[in-house]
Amino acid sequence: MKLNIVKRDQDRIMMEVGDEGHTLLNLLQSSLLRLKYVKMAGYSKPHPLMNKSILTVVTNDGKSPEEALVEAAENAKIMLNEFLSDFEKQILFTEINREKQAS
Amino acid sequence: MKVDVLSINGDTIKFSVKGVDEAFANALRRTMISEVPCMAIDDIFIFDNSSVFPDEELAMRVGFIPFTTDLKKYTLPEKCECKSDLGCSHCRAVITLDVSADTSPRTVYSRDLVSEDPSIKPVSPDIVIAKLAPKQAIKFEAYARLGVGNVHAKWQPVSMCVYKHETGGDKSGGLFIFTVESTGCLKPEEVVSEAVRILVEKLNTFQEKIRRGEASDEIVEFEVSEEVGRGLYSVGAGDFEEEEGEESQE
Ligand SMILES: [Zn+2]
Repeated sequence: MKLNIVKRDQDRIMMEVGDEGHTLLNLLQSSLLRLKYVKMAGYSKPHPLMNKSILTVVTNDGKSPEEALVEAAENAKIMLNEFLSDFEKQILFTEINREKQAS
Repeated sequence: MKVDVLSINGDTIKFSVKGVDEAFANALRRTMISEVPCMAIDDIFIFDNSSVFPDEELAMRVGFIPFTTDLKKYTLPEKCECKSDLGCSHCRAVITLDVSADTSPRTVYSRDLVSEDPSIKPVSPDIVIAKLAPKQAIKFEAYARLGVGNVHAKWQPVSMCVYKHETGGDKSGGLFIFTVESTGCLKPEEVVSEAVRILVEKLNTFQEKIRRGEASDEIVEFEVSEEVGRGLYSVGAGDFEEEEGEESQE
């Protein structure tokens, strides 16, 4: 993953994210938009053959876009980790049940 | 959030997630399809091929055979410490085939492939590779490597990966019912867990880069040649020598 900051104003960041597409950026965007101090968050892919995306974040309430990005990523990670631990617990449970049925 | 494993049946798992949004479900689905690694034959050196298939066709047929995968034992070649083109025991498994038909026709199956590592073998012994007429033979040495579906479809660990979104009319975001069918390379539940780990890892990298203010000056557009290069087959021992020659000139 490569990052390249294209524009950085008071409350706005526009950055290129190399080697990433809809998978990561859509997740980030949705996580960013959940933050109260994020005024705008969006991304675009300049060309389908280019393996990069352009992410724009605008914040208010004196918070920096970098803070928003870090917090959004953190929140997405919390969701994913919660899912993983729940999922693996369920799998373990299913396996135990299966062994019981087999014996 | 509420996760329910509805059923695990052979290579298929069904599970539901409540309390997540479409972006979460879609990121999970896309990662399972194109970023969870699995084993497939990547390089092949053909010593003898008198079958009706041209070498390229044979290489393609062999490439699409799904192999059982051990993600703890193997690493992606680009992440391996050996940094070598041919790889080491941590990033490739050697698969060989040496068959011939003597007096009667013979069908060559995936079970005829000999793997140096018993944990890396075709998921089914009954995949037809070629049919040989009397006196025809195939002999090759191939390297199975980890790779991702992004680069080539032969590295896609799932033959089906879909979700149904039941909105239910309330504000909870609804219920996502996933159906994931593995090709047999990994257990279907492994594919799901691995996808989550990959996404978390990506977010970690992203966070770290933002925190450290690490940004490259420029992202070169169309930096695809290397990516496309991987996932193509090198055919024949002759090609291999040429490749070595080119590298020494650089
Ligand atoms: Zn290696």
